[in-house]
Amino acid sequence: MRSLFWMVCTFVLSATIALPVYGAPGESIVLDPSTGDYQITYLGTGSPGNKKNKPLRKTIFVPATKINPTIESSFKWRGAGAIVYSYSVKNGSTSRQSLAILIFDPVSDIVSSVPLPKRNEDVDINTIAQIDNIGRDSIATPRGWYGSVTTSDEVGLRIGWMFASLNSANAGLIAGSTQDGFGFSSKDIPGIGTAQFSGHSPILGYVDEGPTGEIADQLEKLTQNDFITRNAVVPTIAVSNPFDAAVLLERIQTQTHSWIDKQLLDAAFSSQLDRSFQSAISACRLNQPRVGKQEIQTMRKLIEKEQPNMGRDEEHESDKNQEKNGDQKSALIDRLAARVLDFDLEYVTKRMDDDDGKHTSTSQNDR
Amino acid sequence: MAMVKPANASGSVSTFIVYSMTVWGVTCTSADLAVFAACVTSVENANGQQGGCWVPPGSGREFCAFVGSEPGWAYPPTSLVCPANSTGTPATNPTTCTCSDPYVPDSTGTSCVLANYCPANMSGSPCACIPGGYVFISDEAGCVQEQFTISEPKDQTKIPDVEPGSTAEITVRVTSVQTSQPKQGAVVRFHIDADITSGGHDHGEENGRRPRGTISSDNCVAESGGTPDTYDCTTGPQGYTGFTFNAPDVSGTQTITATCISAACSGSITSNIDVKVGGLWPIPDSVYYSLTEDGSSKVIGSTTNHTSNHYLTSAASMKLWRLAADFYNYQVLNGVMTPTLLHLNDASLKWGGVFDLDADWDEPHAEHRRGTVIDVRANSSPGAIPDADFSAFKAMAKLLKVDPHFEGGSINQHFHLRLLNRKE
Repeated sequence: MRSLFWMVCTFVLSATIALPVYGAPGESIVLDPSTGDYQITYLGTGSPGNKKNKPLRKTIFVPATKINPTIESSFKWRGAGAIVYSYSVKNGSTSRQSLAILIFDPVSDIVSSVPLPKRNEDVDINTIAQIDNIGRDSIATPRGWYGSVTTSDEVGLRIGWMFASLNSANAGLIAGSTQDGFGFSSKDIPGIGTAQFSGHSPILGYVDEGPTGEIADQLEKLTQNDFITRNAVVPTIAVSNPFDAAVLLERIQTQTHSWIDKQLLDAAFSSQLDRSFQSAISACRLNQPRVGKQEIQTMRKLIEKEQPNMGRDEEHESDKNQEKNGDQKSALIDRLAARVLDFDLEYVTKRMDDDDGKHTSTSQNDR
Repeated sequence: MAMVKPANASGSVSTFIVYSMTVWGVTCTSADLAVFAACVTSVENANGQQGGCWVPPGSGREFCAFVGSEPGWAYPPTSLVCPANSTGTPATNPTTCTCSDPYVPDSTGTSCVLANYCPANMSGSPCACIPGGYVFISDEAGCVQEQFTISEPKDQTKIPDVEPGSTAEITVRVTSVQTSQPKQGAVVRFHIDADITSGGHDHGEENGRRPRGTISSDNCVAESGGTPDTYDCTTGPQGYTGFTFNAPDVSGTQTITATCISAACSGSITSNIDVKVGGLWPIPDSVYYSLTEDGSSKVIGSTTNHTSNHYLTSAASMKLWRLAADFYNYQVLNGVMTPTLLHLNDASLKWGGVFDLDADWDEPHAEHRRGTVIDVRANSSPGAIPDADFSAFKAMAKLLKVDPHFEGGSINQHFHLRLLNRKE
């Protein structure tokens, strides 16, 4: 199912740009299939006193999408309710560019020494540099990379890393290489988010002010989507304080509903899960934690039945794994989604145990 | 409606004959002989003698006046008199008297009567305004020629701001001064002008006429004399007329003057409309970037044509600050002892809109209109981003969801940053 999703993503991006696009007479954006680059022909800027006479100019847009990245998401529950999210990234061997940028956007929250603003309107320009430094110190950044934590245009954080030294043409994570060490901690439990990857590409440039009008609109679509996306596990679901199992279950359920459109979850299977979600939520509201936990356990068994190997820790969504996924088309839930949902449900159960005073073991930290 | 006689009302009436005599101290006067006779015969003296008898001088005998053909009847003395409410001198002008004010001759010309007068500019009975655009004012003032004026908008000298290239509805209303009723068919002349130095443009019209807004309307036509930016618009049934104002791409203050030019219509109203992108603020000072040339107070990019070139939205300023701080920190982490501060060139003018580098109200400074784009020096000039950091700077911008690209060729090369990741 995941591979199908990738295919959809790739198609959407390609469909935007595969055919020549035309603006004013003489203007065009044409994909060179041999290089993957775009030849842009546009009406340039006229000279003073002769603005109407616009010369045709050309430039090349080299997209940063000539990469085939994969990402392994790891998430473990540590003490104090924090979950450690770790990522390993591989630039596929067929990539024609080095991988230069990895971004998660949005991330609901991470653990930091001071709360980080989640909305742009909450940012104070007088403290912004300090806040960004605190954010940068709050994430794990591999040597040779530069990390960044900023406010997402959506609600949440935008966390990214760039290869620190991009002086040479092939700088970055070269094809076939793997880089781990990216990560952060969060008190929010995981959902399925999006990782954006960009290859190391030349900077688009114009000798004048560049194109305007329709051709500029089309080009903007290219530049705004100049990255490759992959599913990744990121903090998505906030845990209320004090803990409320019913509320958290509702949030988890809402998260699973978003997976249907992503083709990570079969709609009928989602309905089956919903019945257990509703029963568990009602039980928690009626202060019947035992019934609630039974319903949660029912869901976990349903998930495990669909993805019996989901707990394997060595999952690495490599090119090879993508091929493996072809054998899993019949699964009603994507393996990564199954891992996330199972983790979230287990988290709820453990927190309920904590509330009951029944959970005394410290071995809960690692799963 | 009360009727009053006009001040100049007058007229002539005829004199008439009256019989008149005094009998034993009683005077009987009448134009009607029978009445006269009845009067005199009704008078008796203390001896019971009936009145109406007299001895004409020289006759030596007594005559008594009786009505009809009774014996001894004789006409009494007569005289010419003016009718009531008239004056005259029958002795010298025996046929004509003049009615006294406010009386006028009746239809026969024999008596003076109060006339059925209408007030000014009224006629008929009952009185009504005479045709030709007169309206009733009051009993005293009568009717006056109806006047019209622009009654709406009232006291509006400032129309709400509009963004460059967008539209605003402009409407005026013409009503009667006397009745406040709407006037259909009145023609209002609109003229659109512009404040030459507004909107952040410090240059005049040497290189071209500053664009005025245009209009869209089914009720308006260009002024027949060909006066630029002038339109004649006709009011509808409710007295309204107007148009859709198409703001130019150049920001600044536009002035719209409406004057009613129809007959009996007056009034003029002038309103200003600021064509501007709202919410633009000067870029705040920061230790991470420079708005001025090194060692100088000269503002980068500032010219006599556009002295203020560093305006952004708050959100864009925030992104700029973050990017500049990131770039600074990136250099520090890489061991750069004296990090390069971003040297900021043109952003937007204070009201946004076309940033006409050539002072000709036209491009080429593409974008730079809405306070979300800025140029950062990336050539051989002092303070430019070093070549070696171009790719890192681009990646850093992408981390912050800022869209960077080069503009200007090798000599004027700069990063054109779409700070909010969208073109303007």
